[in-house]
Amino acid sequence: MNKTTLKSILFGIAAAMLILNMQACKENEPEPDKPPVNESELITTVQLIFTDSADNSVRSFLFKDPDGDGGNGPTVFDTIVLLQNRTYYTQVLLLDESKAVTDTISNEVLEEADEHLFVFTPNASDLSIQITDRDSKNLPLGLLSKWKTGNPGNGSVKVTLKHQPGTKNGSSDPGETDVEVNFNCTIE
Amino acid sequence: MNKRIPILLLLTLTMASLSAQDSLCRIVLRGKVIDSIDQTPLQHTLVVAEAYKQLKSNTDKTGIFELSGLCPGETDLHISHLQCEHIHLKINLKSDTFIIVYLKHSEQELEGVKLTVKQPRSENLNISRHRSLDWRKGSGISQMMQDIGGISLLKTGSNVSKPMVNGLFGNRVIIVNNGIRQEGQNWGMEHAPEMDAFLASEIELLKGAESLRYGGDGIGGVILVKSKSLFAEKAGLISGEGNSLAFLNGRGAALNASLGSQIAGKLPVFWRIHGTLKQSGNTRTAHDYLANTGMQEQNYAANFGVKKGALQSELFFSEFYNRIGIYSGAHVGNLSDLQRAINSPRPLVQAGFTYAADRPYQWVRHRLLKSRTVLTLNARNTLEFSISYQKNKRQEYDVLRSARAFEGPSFDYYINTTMGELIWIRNDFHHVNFKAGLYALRQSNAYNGRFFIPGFYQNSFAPFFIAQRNIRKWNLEASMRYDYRHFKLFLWQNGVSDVKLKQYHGPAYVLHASYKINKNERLSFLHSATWRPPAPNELYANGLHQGLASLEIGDQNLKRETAFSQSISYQHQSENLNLEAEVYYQHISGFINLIPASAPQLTIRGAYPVFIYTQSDAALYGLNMRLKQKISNSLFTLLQGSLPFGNNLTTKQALNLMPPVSGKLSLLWEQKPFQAVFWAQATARQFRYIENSDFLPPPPAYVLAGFDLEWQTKIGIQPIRINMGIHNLSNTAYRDYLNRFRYFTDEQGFNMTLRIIIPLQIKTQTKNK
Repeated sequence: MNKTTLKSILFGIAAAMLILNMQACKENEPEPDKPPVNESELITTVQLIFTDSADNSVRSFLFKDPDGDGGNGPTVFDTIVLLQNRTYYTQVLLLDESKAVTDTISNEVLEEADEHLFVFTPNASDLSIQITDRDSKNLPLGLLSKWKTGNPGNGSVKVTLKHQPGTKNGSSDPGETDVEVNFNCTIE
Repeated sequence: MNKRIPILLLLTLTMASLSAQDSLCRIVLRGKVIDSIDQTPLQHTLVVAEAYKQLKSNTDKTGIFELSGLCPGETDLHISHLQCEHIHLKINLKSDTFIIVYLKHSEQELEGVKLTVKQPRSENLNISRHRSLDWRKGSGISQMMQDIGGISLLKTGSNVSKPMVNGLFGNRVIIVNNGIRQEGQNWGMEHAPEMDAFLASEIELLKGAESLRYGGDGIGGVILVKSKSLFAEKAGLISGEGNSLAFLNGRGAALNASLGSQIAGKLPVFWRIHGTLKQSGNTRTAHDYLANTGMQEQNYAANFGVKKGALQSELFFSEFYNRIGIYSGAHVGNLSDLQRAINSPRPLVQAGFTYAADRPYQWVRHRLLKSRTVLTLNARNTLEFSISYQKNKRQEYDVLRSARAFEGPSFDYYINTTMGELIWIRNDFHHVNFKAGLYALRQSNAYNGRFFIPGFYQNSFAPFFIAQRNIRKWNLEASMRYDYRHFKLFLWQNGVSDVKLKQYHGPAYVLHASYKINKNERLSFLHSATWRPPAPNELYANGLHQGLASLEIGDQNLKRETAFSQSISYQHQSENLNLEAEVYYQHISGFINLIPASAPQLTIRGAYPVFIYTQSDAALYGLNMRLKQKISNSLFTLLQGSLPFGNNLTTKQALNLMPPVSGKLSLLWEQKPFQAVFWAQATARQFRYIENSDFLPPPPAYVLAGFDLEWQTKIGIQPIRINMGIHNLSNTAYRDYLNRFRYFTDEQGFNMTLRIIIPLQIKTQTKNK
């Protein structure tokens, strides 16, 4: 075997070695056998907290899907039960309970009030809902609202959160839907 | 299948009588063997005069051989070089003669020898090269494949597309980049192949026995993307090409350059470098700009090699990087958003023109490092060894609920693959040419961010064997491969992993026979059995299908999928007519398919339709054809068409997402220095689909037209090709069934592209001699 052939064989071996070595120099990469890092957020829980204006009594109702979209379905899905002919002051609380430490998403909604809008759509209930809080442009937000009940009956209330960065104009049309929960509702 | 007919050994014989006197056995036959592709002399070609014992000659550096002492009359010659199969030649010798033999010095193929003269390897049903490729390089690698019979594009918006072969895509289609099987997140519908279009010089849908070399799981097919051989570079000459192009729709531009040469010396070193830059902004449909559809791409590659005598070794490195904006109107939160987008006649998100693309976007980087060494032991035995490492990183940035929430990607995938291949090529073993090989793979897949597919390690191993033989008018090929695949999957939940082991093994085979009916006609038969294990997403996906407001749920009990394919193809090739037609029937048992589930699932954003991976038996069948006719010396017509069908045999329903019937008529005109193609393409509405399984029924039929015009000229002594192309000439507003964004927007409207292609040939000082 002459020198040049030897050289070219060495070239081939060196090239192969280089490739095998490449595997060793990994960047800061996840590994299949190490838990993945997930910093992204979910909204797992919608809680409606009602304060009765007559006696300050509080009642609260939940929708809860701790593992997010897919996986298992919601674990808690309450029916809203309200008394007839009352006025309730209502607060919406959004939580991320998928993490070790529960994150209160509604605080972020409040901070970015100019980009968010809650929409309440009652159906076949004697119920009127009025948003009482405003963003910096004096457009409705909906974390706080006033619910007036009428006669007893069964129906539903759809609670929707729209994310409308740069497009918020007070209507429910623009933007993307972050929350859409259709609670059954009983007025007794 | 009309086996691409690489005229492996195309040989024209030019004979020149040197002197007239014939006599006894004193004739000297001299000749030169030349590589038909790059015109370089082929050294180490063995020329044997068969009737004469021990009479043989090896070509020298200049490709010259000499045989003396030949008798007058018919002489059989046997010419062999490297792993090209030898050719047999009959020469009627009267006197001292000089011949020139053109060999196609192919490196990988095991195709039989074709002693056909005339046509060099040209475009056919399965091969796309030259012009039509050059004219598509600006739009991406998948677009370059679409002139091949049976290939259609599965798109996600205007910037992401992947090839579909007779209706199959993703894990069922193997794409081979530069000899190495491409390994990325192939399973995703919205994951385009990560390859630089400008590196491709030929694309082939590989049919026949050789396809098993790249895997036993290419149920849909194996697509080879080939680059120019590094060893074609010549000493004393820097050769390359510059491409610059600009297109109107998206106001995009691309620049590309490649340079290569050979450093002569005792150990000749070959090198080539290559780079591509591309950018475009918001694309426009017939009426509107599409918000956030700008993209950027940057690629480079470097290739070094040495070649000495029987040994040839190369090292190749490439990096592909792109960042693709996704139309922001396609990011919907839930079904009511989707319904609103569907109901709106105009895009819901209005935009003007901009290059900037923010969330949602994809960020992809693919690196490939490979080394390949070929050792020619003798004229009939060759060893080939290659090892490669691919590193694929894909990040998908969704729209965030809150700007504060989180900076990083929503999906963040890392897949690293090491592959090795050792092949022994043996020619003329009792008239059979064969390749025996071993293949091994080690792969790791991991992710951060949201779960969609689990992390896993894969170890695979496969021996394979490919054989070919010519018997009279038959060319017979057979191959077999046995794959062992082992997966260790990690399903993480709250920091705890559920480890699953999945093992699969089984054989695959291909039988191919091709019969030459006469000078012009050929009939081919193919039968194959291939299989693939269920992919990790089919087993374990559980979540939101990106952007499309539906949940995709895997089934961990899925079994393997096995396909039995058969096809018959007919080819007629004469001076005025070139017809190829193929009919195929594929029976797939355990076909894994996404089927709508009956009950929607409730989420915090309302009820979502659910799609579940299920297995059933399926049949895919159809016809692909190509007819090229000569009208005059400068005018040709070309008709291409495909009729693909798919049935779910278990539910007796059509398969969703099959390409509709389509056809294309082109008029090719060539009058030096001009070339032009005028084309019109018609795509039917897809009538075969599962009713009520989709948000929208398939869109109506449409017809598109356009042309490409090329002018070859010179600036000083520098040749230059100037080219203009028009796509969607009439600015038709249409939607494509195979585009996942058909719910939201029309396809791209009118587009004009201007290209300048500059072939470079720079003479340098030769250092030696």
